[in-house]
Amino acid sequence: MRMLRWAFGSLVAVTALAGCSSIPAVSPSAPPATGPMPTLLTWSKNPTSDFRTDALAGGVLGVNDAGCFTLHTEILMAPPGSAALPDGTGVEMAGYGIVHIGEEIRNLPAAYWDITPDEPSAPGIAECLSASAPEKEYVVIWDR
Amino acid sequence: MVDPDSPSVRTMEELTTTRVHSRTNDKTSVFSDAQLTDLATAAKSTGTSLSTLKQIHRGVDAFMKLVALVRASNPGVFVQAGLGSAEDPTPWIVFTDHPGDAVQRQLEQLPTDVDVLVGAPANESELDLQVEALVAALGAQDGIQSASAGVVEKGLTIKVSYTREQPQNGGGIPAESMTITHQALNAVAGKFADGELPVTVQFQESSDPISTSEAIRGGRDLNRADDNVAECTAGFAVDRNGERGILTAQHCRTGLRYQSSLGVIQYVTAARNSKSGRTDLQFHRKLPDISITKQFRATGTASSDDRTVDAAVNPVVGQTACHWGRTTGYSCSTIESTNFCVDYANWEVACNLDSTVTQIDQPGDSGGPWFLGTTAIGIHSGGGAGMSLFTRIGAATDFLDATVQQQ
Repeated sequence: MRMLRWAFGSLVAVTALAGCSSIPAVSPSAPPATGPMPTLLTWSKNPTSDFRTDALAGGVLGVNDAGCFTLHTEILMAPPGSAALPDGTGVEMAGYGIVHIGEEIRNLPAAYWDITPDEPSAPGIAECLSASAPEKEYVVIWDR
Repeated sequence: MVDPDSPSVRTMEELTTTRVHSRTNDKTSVFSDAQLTDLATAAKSTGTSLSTLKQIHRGVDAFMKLVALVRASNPGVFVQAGLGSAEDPTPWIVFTDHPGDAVQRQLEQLPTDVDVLVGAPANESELDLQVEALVAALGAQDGIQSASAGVVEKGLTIKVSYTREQPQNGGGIPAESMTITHQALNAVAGKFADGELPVTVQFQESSDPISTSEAIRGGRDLNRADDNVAECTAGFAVDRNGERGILTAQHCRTGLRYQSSLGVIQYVTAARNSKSGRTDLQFHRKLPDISITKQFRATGTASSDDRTVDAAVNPVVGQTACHWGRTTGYSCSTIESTNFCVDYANWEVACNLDSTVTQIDQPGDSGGPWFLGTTAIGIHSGGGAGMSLFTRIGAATDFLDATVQQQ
């Protein structure tokens, strides 16, 4: 059973839908000074659930060639309330603070989710897949 | 594949075996406390029962001392000695030729019978030379990253393992396996006067260098494969469709390494969904030449804190349930509810879970073993609202076709 409770962050959703596929590749170590805002995917909290999975995630915050934020080699799905910084150089991650592109964060409570053709991924994932090296998983970070 | 240009191996007749019976009246076997501790530890780490190990080790002190004497006084004919097996616990000594009546009389004074095997094609010194020459010959070849060798099969075979360097960004093409082994064998044969190899050589190419000689055990850390960052915890060793491997949680990443070692495990599949939701299990098989045991980390990080699985049973309400996780370590609670489903805030609906009356988990624990004593009961999934959640061990069979390895 698939629970369709994922959603874009409200601020970046318009940007993502308007031009995700046309955004040029951005190196994780070179924050974009100009150009389109990177897309940040967030999940919408299930209000009935206080339960969290117990995997760990971490890595360098980056932006893939689809213009979406990534953590290590996975598409990032940040906690509810997270948002891209206004200048597009990073993310304000709810519960964790500001993380700039190229910075490393570790030991975030998380769940990984496979991206397979067999079943639909969360909304936004298909648009965020890298064209040159499609990600195999996305990582969901839970808030704290 | 047979290499027709390889040097020949000395011909040999079949070894003749004579069982020398103990003539001493003292056939009892008394182990010291330290020996018993060591045997018990070995039983945990190898999966062999303590009773079998005690049977195999009966009279080991006297046997070891006698082997040292025989080896020193008969260097021209001594080959190798060893303890027996679970099938036949009789210790054995191999010679190239009869060692003489004096040795037989000494053997008769041991508290156990001993098998004397005669007719080996090479003595210990020649085997040592062959082993050293093989490792040196392999190590001298371009493209060989590591090589090792040792005498096996009662002195009749030398087993060689080697690892090839991986070509770097369009670098040189590694030599064919036959070229590597052919060069090594010819280099070694040239060191012996008769130009023949003393004993047969078995080559084994390893796909990746393994930085640990440890067997896979449950409860160890699982790190991200590409950069060794902390990720999850390993569950129990299982058999799945003829493959052995390890369980962990499905919501962990698929690209994982066992502790810090690459080339140990490989992702195979996640468990099937149940009617109601996800089954939070995934299976990683062990790679060839890697061993795996039934042990799992239970109460601490010392190997003596490991336990050996002797049963795998779904728990019942009210029973004690303990777990090991890389973040929280060892802790216990009580089963509150079985066949639990949860709508994880950051994942999906998962079922086939059991819950506990208190929350004793933290991020990083996912995939770790839940148990009571030496009975496997589950694989850690998550927690919240004052409870911890694990996937019932029966789901491994029902939704992953995997069976927990048991003693």
